[in-house]
Amino acid sequence: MGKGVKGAASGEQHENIEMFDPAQQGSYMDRREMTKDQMEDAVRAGSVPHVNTSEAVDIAKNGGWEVDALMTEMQKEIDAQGGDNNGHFDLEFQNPKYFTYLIVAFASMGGMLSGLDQSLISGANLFLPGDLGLNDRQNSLVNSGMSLGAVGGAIILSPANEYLGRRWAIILSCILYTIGYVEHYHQVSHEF
Amino acid sequence: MLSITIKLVMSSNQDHSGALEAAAMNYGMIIAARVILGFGVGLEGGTVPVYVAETVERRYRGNMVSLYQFNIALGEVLGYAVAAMFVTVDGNWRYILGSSLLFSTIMGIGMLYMPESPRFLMHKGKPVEAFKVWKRIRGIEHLDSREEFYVMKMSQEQEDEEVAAGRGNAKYPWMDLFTEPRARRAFVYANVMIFLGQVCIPWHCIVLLARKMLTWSFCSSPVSMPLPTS
Repeated sequence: MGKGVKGAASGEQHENIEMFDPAQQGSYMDRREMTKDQMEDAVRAGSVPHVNTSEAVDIAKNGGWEVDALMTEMQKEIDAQGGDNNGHFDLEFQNPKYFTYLIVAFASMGGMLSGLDQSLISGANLFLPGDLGLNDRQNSLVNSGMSLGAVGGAIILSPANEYLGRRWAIILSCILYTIGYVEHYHQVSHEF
Repeated sequence: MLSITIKLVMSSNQDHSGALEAAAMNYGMIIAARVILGFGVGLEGGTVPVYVAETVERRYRGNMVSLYQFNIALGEVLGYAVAAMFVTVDGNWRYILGSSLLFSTIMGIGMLYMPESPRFLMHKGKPVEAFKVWKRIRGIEHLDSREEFYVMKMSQEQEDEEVAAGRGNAKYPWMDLFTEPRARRAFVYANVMIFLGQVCIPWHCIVLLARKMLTWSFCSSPVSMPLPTS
């Protein structure tokens, strides 16, 4: 965990100079006055100094050594846990740019499903009331039923994202879509 | 939930004729189907733009989130094509309404192969997993991606410290939406504007009933109508 990583690093900090104790230092500008040996010590010991967001953005813009130190530290953690073992569902490409295209393609399909749903009910409206014998009140409830469900979907959005994660929240929404569509088809066999 | 919905609907049905009672069962089911579908739409409408924004590079972030909105409009055009395809098939409205089963299955299977969002993993306190995903989807060769990972980690640590130090609503940081005045003003403003936009502009009425309106006024054949639904 985040705290755990910092804790492990700060344990080794005592061997290094007080240079890396954030409480005793001023801003990060003081810490940047370090010799090359001190920097290498920090990278080896895995103690990346702690900054807040605005300082981090400044460091990133000026290309500080802390960025590389963080990468090295993370890589050490991964190797300690046994290396990158990618399961069947973990794709990896030569060029990470392909991943961008793939993610966007699949995620945008969700947008297409949204638009399709809103438009198809208008098309089905020509035949639906006649087939099921609905009067006007019931027909308008069918039409706006989807928007009503979207209210519920927006309410469960935040808990679903927190507990399931973004990827599983999208998969859950696909499962709900499938259940909804299967219910539409189910009425064929139910009528006859 | 299904049976509750059906009971609610049937109890509100005023007409007592036998034919309508036979049809009421199907009416309840189609209402339930639409509501469940709506759950999926609402859930995905908030998650997908955030997921896309968290995983792609800074350069393309704006483009990709707009691509989501573009696809909504594209889907409405495709809805016309699908309706035109199935209008001559017997029992047609079922196929029209259920035809996007194909897309939802493709999307569901595709999303199983996609990685979890790295910013979410960092938020849950798993920076090593976030780094693994980052290596796969952004690569750590370029300076941009390295810097962004660094800033992400540092801001997550700062947030953790603030929550642990008990600033304001420590247990539920999302309550800041109501308690902090700046966030509350933005929240109220956004909600009022969207509410007025949906209620005072009868866009949905026009979209949902456009075909019927045009059938009454101009044409007799549903397929020969031009695209009215966007």
